[in-house]
Amino acid sequence: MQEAYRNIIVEDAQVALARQITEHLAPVGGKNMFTTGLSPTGAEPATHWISSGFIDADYAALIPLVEWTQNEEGQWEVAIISPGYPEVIMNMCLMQEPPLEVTLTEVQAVLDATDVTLEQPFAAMARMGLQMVQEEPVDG
Amino acid sequence: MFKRLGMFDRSLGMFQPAGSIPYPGPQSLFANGEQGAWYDPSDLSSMFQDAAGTTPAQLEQPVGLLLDKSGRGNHASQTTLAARPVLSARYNLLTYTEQFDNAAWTKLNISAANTTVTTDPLGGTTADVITVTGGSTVHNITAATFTISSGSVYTLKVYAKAGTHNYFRHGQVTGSAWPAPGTWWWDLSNGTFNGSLGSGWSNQSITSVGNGWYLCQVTVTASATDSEGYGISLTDSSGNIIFSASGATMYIWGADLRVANDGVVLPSYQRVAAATGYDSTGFPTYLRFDGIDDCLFTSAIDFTATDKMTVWAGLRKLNDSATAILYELSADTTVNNGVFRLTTPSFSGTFPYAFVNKGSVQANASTADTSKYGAPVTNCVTCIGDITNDVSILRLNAVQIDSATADLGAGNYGNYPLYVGRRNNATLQFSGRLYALIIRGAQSTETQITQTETWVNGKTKAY
Repeated sequence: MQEAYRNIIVEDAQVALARQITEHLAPVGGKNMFTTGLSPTGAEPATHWISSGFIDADYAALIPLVEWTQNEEGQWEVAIISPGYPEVIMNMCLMQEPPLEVTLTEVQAVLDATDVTLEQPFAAMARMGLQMVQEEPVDG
Repeated sequence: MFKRLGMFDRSLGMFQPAGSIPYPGPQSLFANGEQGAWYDPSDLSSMFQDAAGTTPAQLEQPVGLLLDKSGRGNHASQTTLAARPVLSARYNLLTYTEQFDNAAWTKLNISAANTTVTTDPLGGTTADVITVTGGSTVHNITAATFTISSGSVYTLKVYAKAGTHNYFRHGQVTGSAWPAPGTWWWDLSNGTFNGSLGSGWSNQSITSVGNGWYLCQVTVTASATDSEGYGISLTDSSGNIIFSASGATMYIWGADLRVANDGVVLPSYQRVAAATGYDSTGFPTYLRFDGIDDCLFTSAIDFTATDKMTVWAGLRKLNDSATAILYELSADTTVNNGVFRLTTPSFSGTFPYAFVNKGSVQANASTADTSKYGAPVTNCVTCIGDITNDVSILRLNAVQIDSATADLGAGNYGNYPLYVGRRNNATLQFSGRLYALIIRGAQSTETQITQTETWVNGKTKAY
């Protein structure tokens, strides 16, 4: 199986469906993704969720990929490397046994709420103004 | 009459004085059937990219299966692809370190090309010539930027040889992480340092390596967290970076930028081409945990026959901003009995290391010395537990740091999975490297403890 590196940050409102879609597209390797919460302050509730590392290359090819750069004014500008393939994702979800019943609109909403880059995770978090949601310190 | 002074122990990589017992290796710790595990990221044959163990591990690829070399079969794995740590031996943060003509290097009023006019410092053909272009302006060559953390100390080095131009220095490039370098320069015509280093710059040296080549290095402490790059600025004979010398040439080779405390007795230069293609000879391999979601874990390990525990780990931690767990027996030591964990850091950085040990009652052995053990730092950590005798000991780099005698309650250690890198494969993720991990459900002798610490340090290069 070929693998590709991706850093993926999903908005909280879409993370539940993102997890379901990921698990359907990659039943083994895509299970239990997006388990680390992020927020602007590091306090709960999480506003975003992140997974970072190598993923199934076939799955990586289906989701969007962008590249962010800063202009001379320090503003972030995005270049779309791949827009993703929401219709293919929808069809693959519907074809699985059991199927994941999703509409094209729902899949597109997940992709629109997802930031997928080749960045290192902490660089992406810094760009988006996010920190990891920290649990209360353990006792010791 | 010749007197034998000792012997060279290959397993330890060091001389053993006569009369000492050669170290038989970590496998000896399990010779009597002791329960536990021995994980060795320096042994590629003990790792696989997939959890099923069909694809051998290789550098810069994830590790989904980490075999237990103790013989107890307590292998650690991860089925979620993105949650697998990556096997690495990368220390030099730069790429294309012998290819300054590559696009990874930005040339400002300088051109770069491979040359055969001189051999490189190793006698090969990979030396580059840089040629000054343009008029009275700056002339520099810089590497891609990356995030530099305030307070972190970095070493910048490059090999250089005089052409028709003799003067250069390392310096501030594009961001604000490096402090102002001051006015200084190296003179390659005679191998001298001139001028004064700016505040935050130190430990410069220029050392002849033969054939006119010099190893030029300097240390800098980042004054801010910002994107910053590696830069070589040509200067005139007075250290000015704005000057005119169109057509002048200088030779460079082998740039290296790394965190200054990243290991001891490592090769001074690591060749890197692309980010995943580099020379690993002499550089310890490690599992890189990204601090986001990486974790390996086992099935339940039955420690119920013992109330004694010795755990050795070689690690480098990169971040103290949030509580993180390197290893933990059971899903949560705060609610289970007969458990232990190493928290690094604990209480969001208040304690750089805390060994939590628990029979039916918890005790901690820890250190609050953030100046010595704050991230980024490489350490060999030994944790010793004895529930019956209320012993909880933390050792760092072969020195006992804390010994807690608080009550541990009663009972033996439990029958639980071991989690490496995160609590319960879910939270409190560790950011850093793992070089070695040995868990032994038994009391260890002083010789076993110290010799295994030496063995672990051979894999970690912490001290």
